[in-house]
This record gives sequence, structure tokens and C-alpha cells, in this order.
Amino acid sequence: MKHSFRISLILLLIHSSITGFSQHFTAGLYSGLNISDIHGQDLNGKWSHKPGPSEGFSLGYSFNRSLGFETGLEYSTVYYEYYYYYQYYYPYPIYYINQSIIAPVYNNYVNNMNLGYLRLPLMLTLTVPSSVDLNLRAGIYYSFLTGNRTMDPQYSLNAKPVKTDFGYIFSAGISCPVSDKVKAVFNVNYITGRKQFLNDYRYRNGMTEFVAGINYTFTGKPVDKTAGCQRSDTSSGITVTYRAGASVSWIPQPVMNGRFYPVTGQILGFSVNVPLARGMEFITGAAFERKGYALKDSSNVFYRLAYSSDPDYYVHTKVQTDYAVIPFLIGLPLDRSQRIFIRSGPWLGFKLSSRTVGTAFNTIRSYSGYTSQKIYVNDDITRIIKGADSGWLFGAGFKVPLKNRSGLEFDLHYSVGFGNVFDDPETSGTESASYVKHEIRNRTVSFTIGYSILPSGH
Amino acid sequence: MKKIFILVMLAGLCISCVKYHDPAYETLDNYSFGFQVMQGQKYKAGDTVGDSIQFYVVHNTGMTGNTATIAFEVLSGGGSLTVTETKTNSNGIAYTGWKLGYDSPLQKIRAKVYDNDGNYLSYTDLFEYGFRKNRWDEISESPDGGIIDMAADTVNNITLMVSGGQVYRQGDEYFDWQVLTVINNLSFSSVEIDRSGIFYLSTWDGSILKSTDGGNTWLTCTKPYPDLSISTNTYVANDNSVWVFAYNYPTKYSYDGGMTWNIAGSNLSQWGYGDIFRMKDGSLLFHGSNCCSLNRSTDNGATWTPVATPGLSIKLYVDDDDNIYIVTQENGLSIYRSSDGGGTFDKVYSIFPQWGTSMQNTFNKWHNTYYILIPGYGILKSEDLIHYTVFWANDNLSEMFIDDKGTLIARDHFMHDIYYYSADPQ
Repeated sequence: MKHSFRISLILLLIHSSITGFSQHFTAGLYSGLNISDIHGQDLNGKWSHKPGPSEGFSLGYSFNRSLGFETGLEYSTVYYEYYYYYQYYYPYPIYYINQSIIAPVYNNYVNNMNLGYLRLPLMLTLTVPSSVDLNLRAGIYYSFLTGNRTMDPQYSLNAKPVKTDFGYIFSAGISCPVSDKVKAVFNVNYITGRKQFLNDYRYRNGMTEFVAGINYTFTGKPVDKTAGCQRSDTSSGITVTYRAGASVSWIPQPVMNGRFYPVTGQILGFSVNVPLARGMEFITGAAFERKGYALKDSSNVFYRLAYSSDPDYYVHTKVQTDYAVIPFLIGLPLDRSQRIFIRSGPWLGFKLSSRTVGTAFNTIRSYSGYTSQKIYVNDDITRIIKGADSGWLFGAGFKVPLKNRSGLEFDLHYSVGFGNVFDDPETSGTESASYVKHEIRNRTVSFTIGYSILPSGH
Repeated sequence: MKKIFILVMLAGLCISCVKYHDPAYETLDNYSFGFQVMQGQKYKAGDTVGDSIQFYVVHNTGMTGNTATIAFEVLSGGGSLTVTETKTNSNGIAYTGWKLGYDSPLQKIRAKVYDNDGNYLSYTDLFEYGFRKNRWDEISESPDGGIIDMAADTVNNITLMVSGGQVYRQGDEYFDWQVLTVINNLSFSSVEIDRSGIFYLSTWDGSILKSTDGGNTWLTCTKPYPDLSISTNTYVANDNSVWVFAYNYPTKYSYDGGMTWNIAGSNLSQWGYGDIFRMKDGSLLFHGSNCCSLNRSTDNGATWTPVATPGLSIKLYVDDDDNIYIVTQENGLSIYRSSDGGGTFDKVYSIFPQWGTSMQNTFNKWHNTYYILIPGYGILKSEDLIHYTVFWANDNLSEMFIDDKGTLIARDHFMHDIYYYSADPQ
């Protein structure tokens, strides 16, 4: 009964939207590249991110200016390339720590897999109309394997990829009209497979696509191209701000005997500012943020301080964890013109990936020799980072109005993470807590410049 | 302003596209080094190890030359070095001389390696053995450490030893052993010798070999238990008869050097071990490894009659004057003596070992002195088997032998360590 009520409510909302806006069909062509990002990787080596082609066409139907769905057909080839570690289990379990364990070095074996897929997506679309429309899409896909080639010089990879796949698509992009019925579009699609594509291995497909193309509108109101991508005719006060900037992130000091340093990162995303009473604003949105820290110290692992008595390596690495961050902020103006403001509120961050990169040095002393080694570290540590992080943000900034009711926004944020970013349940079976010298909590100061525009048609 | 925003976006994109090095490792510096002298060689204390001690250093795969400084030091044994610090020569070799000391049998030196800037790299050790006179010298090296049996021909100066299934002949020095390769396709369990100098070897599958020329050639005897492939214990009595024991099987004996075998009557000791002595009156005395099994035979072993003993007897010995000695489990261990052919026994000595086990090669005689190995206690010394002194208290010992040179050789219970005692000639 409850389920039926929800469906009825959704249909009612769609229907009410349809009555205020002429529906239309769209068809699109797009092409671009994908960057592979395999999921479920083991700890025996490193999967490299490799580019591959993606192209396809889409069919869409819009109920109104904002809501719709989209399907289509896409072909993509995803390239996976794997560098074996010479020794298994990296980041190797702490309980293996002893002097007999030498560097988890990498050998020269490389495994390649090229998989071609024909994909059928089905996505809900949300468009924030503006001079540059913001397009958000999410849905599922079903795909068919059309070709594959595997090359494994070290081991015979007998498992053949399964013929079909299933997974989720999350997409964000922009579009702007170039003629009455044609829009140029650019989308970034995050695709994550839910099905193991090799028997006996827990690998799942994953990639990030960057595609550009055109959309043609068949019915409904023609595309408004009054000023190309300069359109702006709004009055409701909701603004969309596309923002980019840089951040400096670190972990709290002091930590036990550790030498940690801040690292710089990038921020790219958008925010939606909803005006509330008396100049207050509610701000949400989504942004890609890179957080992390640098480590210059002795340790037995490359990504944090962990050792028993005598660390094996001198580590000079960065840990870079990418998050999709969704803020929930309240903004307050500090002056009558509402150009200067402060903001604060919680945020949620969803881990996208994590790597440790840099160098490590170790010396191996034995009864028959001495060896000094430099290790180039480039390891995926996504698996041992928690899937989500949360925290609180404090910020301040000011706005500079431009013509057409657009503007620039300068923000300075200080963000505090609440919890340890390492997934202790994931590592507790292999790492002795006594060897781990600290917890890692995100701290970030970021500076962003945003270009804000008021959505059209309100 | 919009251009500024785009520029910031592009700059951020560029920063995020940093290319990091693929996983790899790179050797920055590498040294290989070591002594060009074999480890664990045996010398007499005070000897010089070889003409000199050579130490090589190879830098970065093949580079030799003046690449390192070597500091030598004596770690144990009390020896001395002719050179304590030197650079490698153009061939990457450093030299020193090493004279062994007298402080301990294990002699050890260390070479510390430094690069040309004086940075410490690593070290390696060299150890050798220096055997001393009138001291117990311990060694764990193979084959000595695994010795399980020994027999000595004091007339022809030949000693054979069984260790690790192989047979070794003693060289010029008592610590020098060479494997007998002529029979290296078999695995041996014991070695015995009769009073005419014939050696008998037993194998783990129950075969017996004998040699009449000091181990140069070997003859396969008739197998005592032809249908069985089991380990046996061989014992050669003082009348040169050969006795074979197998656990849970009848004892067998041979009066023709192992060519034909007879079954000893009365189910004589099926415990797998025993001692036989021919008395001057022609009778035989036997005691097995099991308690209270002293028996006498007057028909050359065909039938046996039990002989009463005080306490719980476990070991038998008869001296050249037909005095009978039994060891009993009384007050620890007690030694009883009978001078009337076993009619009466008198206690002559008692001792409390730390632990007990079967007693095998217990009574050992060199010239006019007896050395009695008490497992779990050590070695007693006696001239008349009536009066005893403690020669060496070591409760780890479980077995003892004397070679043809009079060297006392004792072994620990774990079959790991061997102890040599070589006395100066009297």
C-alpha cells in the first residue's frame, strides 16, 4: 500500500510538471574516451588507468524542463593493464613485518585485458536550466561483451570474461544550445559494474568517461539560442555556481614521531544556492575533491606510519584520496549588499579512489651484501580507505556581480573530517593496531573561484 | 572575469594530470662480499687458518678495486689477527692472518665493511673450530654432532663412526672424519668390533656387513631376519659371538661371524637390546634393556636361566677378572658388584641422575681406567670399578665412546652436540 502510494505520488509530480511544459524527445551522438578503473582488485599488483574509446547515441524523453529519462546504445573498449608486484600482498599485512621481508618490489610482468562492450543504459535525468544547463544523470546499464583479448605473460589467465555485465551509471555534464534544436553536450560518466567479469576473480568493470556530442530536439519548444550560452533570465534567486580551485590538506599534528606534510589538491564541482529568509542561503551541490597528506618518515608501509621496532623503509610519499563531496551548508551575509558571507555546515564525502605515490628507500643488509634501493611507489590503496567520510566545514567569501546577473564567487573553506579515513575493519585482520602509529583525519583548507549564474525559466 | 574562471579551471585540470612514475625499483648501490674461506673447518687451537684469510668485495655488479675498507675483529676463541683494518686491493680482496686461540673451541672473527666514505655497510662472520688438549670441546657440526655409534681398533689404530646413516673413518686427528664411500648406498644404524678387529655394520633394514681389513672392503653377512626389513641392534660379545636384537622378535646369535644364525631360547629379551659376556667358566651372562633380565646360559645360548639381582637391574658389565657389575634403579642409580659369579652382590656406588633412559655404551675402558657414562648425570671415573670419582658432570649427556687414540667422545641426549676430550699423553 505504501509502495503504491509512492508510485502514485511520483506519477502525480510528473503529470503536474508535464502540464506546465511541453515534453520533447531528444536524440544525441557523442564520442570521447574512457579511463579504466577496475574494481575489486587484489593486492598483488597495480592496475593502471588506461584510456580507451567510447562512442554512442542517446535517446531521451523530457517530462519537463528538469526531469526526464534517457537510454541509448554505447560502444566502449576498456583497457586494463596490470603490473604485478614481485611479492604478493601489498600493502602487505603488518604481521609479516620482520627483517626477512624485503621490499615489495615490482617485477616486469604486465597483464593486459582489452574488453569491448555494447552498453544499454537507462537513466533518470535532472537538468538545471541555465545559460549553460547542468545535466545530472543516474541509472543502470546492461552490457554485452563484444570482444576481448587478454595477455598474461606470467600466469595463464584461463578465466574468460563473462558475456554480459550489469552496473550503475552516474553522470554530470553541461550543455548549451548551438541552434534551434541542437545542443552541444559534454558529460562525465562514472560507470561501475556490479558483476564479476572473470570467474574466480573478483574484478568488476569500472571506468570514467569523458564524452562530447550533440543533442537534437524533435518535439516541443525549440531550443532558446538567444545568446548562445549567454542566456539568463531568472528571478527566483536560486543560483548555480560552477566552482574550481585548489586545496591544501593535511592531517592533524602532532602525531607520534611522525613527519607529515600538507599536500595540494584540486576541487571541481558545482553548488546550488537556495535563498532562505533574510539573506540566508542553503548551499548544496557536488564537487570532486582531492584530499590527503604527505609522509616523510620511516615506516614499513608506504601510506602511513606503521612499524614494530625497526622500520624497513624511508618513505617519501603522498596519499591522495579522491572524494565526491556533497555539502549541506547554511550561508549568512555579513553586509547589506550580501556580497560578503560566511558559511558552515556538514558535508558528506564518498570515496572515489585512493593512491599512494612517491618514493621509498630501503637498505638491505645481510651477511653477504648491502643493497640500497629506491622504490617508485604508485599503489592503489582504495580498498583500505573507508567508503565515506564526513565532517564539518567553515567558510567565508565574497561575490563579485557581473552582467546578466551572473557573478564570480571567491570562497575560502576550512574543512574538518570526523573519523579515521582508513578502513580499520578492512585492515584489522591483517594489521596489528599496535604497529599503526596514528589515525588519519582529513583537514583541508581550500580556495575556490566560482562562476555563478541564475537558472533560467523560473 | 569569465576568462579568469576558465583559466583557473584549466590550471586545476593541469595540476590534476600529474603523471607519476609507474611502480618500479632501482638499485642505488650494491655490495657483495664474503670470506673466501670455508666455514666450520677444524684445527688445533693455536694453528693458523690457512696461509691467510681472504675477504672479497664486489661493488655494483662486477666492479672491483679499492671500493671498501674492511675492519677485522676477533669475536670469540681468543685468537689473534695480523691485520685489523685494510682496504680492498685492486682485485677487491682484503687479507688478514688468523691464529686460533685457546679460549673456546668455537673461534669466530668478524669483518665489518665500510664504503670509501667511511659509511658502515654490513658485516659477516667467519667461524672455525680450534680443538684444545685436556678440555671438553663442544661441536655441533656434521657429522660429529649426529654420531650414534662408534667402534675402535686400538691395535691397528682405526676408528669407525656412524652418523646420519653413513660410516666415517677417523683421520689423523680425532676431530677429522672421512666418509667411507665404498658403502655409501646403504644407511647404517650401528658399528661394532670384535676382539680380532673385525668390524660389523648394521643397516636400518636389518642387514649386517663385516670388514676384516679395517673398513676397506665389506662382506655382506647372512641376514638374521631374512623376511623382515627392520632395524636391528648388533652386539659383539667378548667371545666374538655376534648377537642381534630386534624389538618383539627372538634374539639371534652367530658363532661364525654372521654366516649362520641361531635363535636364543627362553624368549630372551625381546626388548631390542642387550649385553652378553662369556664367563671364564664357559657360561654366558645376558642382561637386556628391560628390567631385571639377568640370565645365565650354560649351553652357549640355547637355553637361559634367570639370575636374581638386587633392586631393579638395567645394565650388565663383566670385567676381565669375571667380576660382575649391574646397574640398578635404586636410590637413583646404584652400581652393584659380584665377585662370586652372581651369587651375591654388593653395592659399591650410588648416584642421582637428572633423568633416566636406556643405558647402552656405559662402561668404557682406556688402558687401566674406566669411564662410566651415566645418562642424565655425566661421566664417572674409576680405576677398579669400586671407587668412583666424578670426571665430568653434565646432565645433558646420554652416550659416550672412546676412539683408538683414547679421546673421550660424549654426545648429548638431543643428538645435536658432541664433546671431545683429548688428554695429553701420559
